[in-house]
Amino acid sequence: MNYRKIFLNGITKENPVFRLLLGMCPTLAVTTSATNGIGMGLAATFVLVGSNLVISLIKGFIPEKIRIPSFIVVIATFVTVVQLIMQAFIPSLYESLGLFIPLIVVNCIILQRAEAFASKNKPFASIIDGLGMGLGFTLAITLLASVRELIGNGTLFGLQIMGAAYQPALIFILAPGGFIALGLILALLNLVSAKE
Amino acid sequence: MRKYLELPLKLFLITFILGLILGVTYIYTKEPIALQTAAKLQESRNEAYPGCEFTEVDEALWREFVTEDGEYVKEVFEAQKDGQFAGYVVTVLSKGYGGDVELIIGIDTEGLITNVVVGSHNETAGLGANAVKPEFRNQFQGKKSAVLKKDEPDNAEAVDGLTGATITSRAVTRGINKALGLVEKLMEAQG
Repeated sequence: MNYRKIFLNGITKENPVFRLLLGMCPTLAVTTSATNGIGMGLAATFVLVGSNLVISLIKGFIPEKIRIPSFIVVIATFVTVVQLIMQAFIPSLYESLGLFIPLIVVNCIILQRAEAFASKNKPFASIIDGLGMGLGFTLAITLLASVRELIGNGTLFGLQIMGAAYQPALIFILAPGGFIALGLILALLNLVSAKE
Repeated sequence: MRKYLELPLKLFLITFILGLILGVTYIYTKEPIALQTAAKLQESRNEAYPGCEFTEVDEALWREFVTEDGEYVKEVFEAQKDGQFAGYVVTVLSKGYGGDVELIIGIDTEGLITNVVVGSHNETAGLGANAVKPEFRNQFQGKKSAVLKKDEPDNAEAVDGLTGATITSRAVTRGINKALGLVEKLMEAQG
């Protein structure tokens, strides 16, 4: 297996948000500011790498028929353990990422990678896949969040970008704006890939 | 028949082991987390009323002054500055857009707000979550009541609400007013 290919797969060809349309819940919910996008993305990447590794290590013990409940229990346990340890020993990190951690349990990208990749591949390849998918997710939601924050609030990473005369289109940081912005970005990407 | 026993047993084993891991982690992190939380609350109190020493006021002494309607008063601390009684710091849970908003409110002996700190909350990022920003919270400093310009435009005490987050803004003002009402009665009772 070509590790470079596995890594890039998650960022471009099978980008979880823009290509597989997975994890729409956190994608739409937290992308109200670019800082949130990065926070959620990094927290999810961390969990994704960890859960991919654990699943890949124990794939031999899990019977085929009960793999889904087993994966879910493994992921939920992993996320909770990470949350507790982070809260206890790295409070500064918990303060910025803590908000997103409970949302990660319901992120279907993690279950999908367990099912589609980690349960069929070696531990190291699974880590690389987790990294690629996680970074792909991070890039995608940070891009979406930047568009929403810029149009909806006139700022980017909290910095004022648009001039004072700019009247922010508040709808973009509200829920409907999430769907609109995501739809526009998807259309644009499809247009580009259709021309290739 | 064996096949049907094997699956539940294996699933039981998996959940049992993971449950054990979770339990052990919980035991080992419980104390550090409690310490972190306590340290954070202490920090919030210091910000709500800077330069003071705090002692918790026994709930029996203030519970009777609280009307039970919506906002929940969690703790009351007495603030002392240089050994002198300086006022109170009250922690209130107020219903916001996404659940309880924790407010830590400092009030001096004149009944004026020293500062407001927004603790744990679950408000919308980019809208209601902006309540934690000093630009919003600091507006209440030195005021003796909390009102929004939107609700009472002519009131000299009124402050700007948060854009697109009226529910959160009102949760904050209701919580502050609850604390102010409690402290007023508490000070009257103590002379």
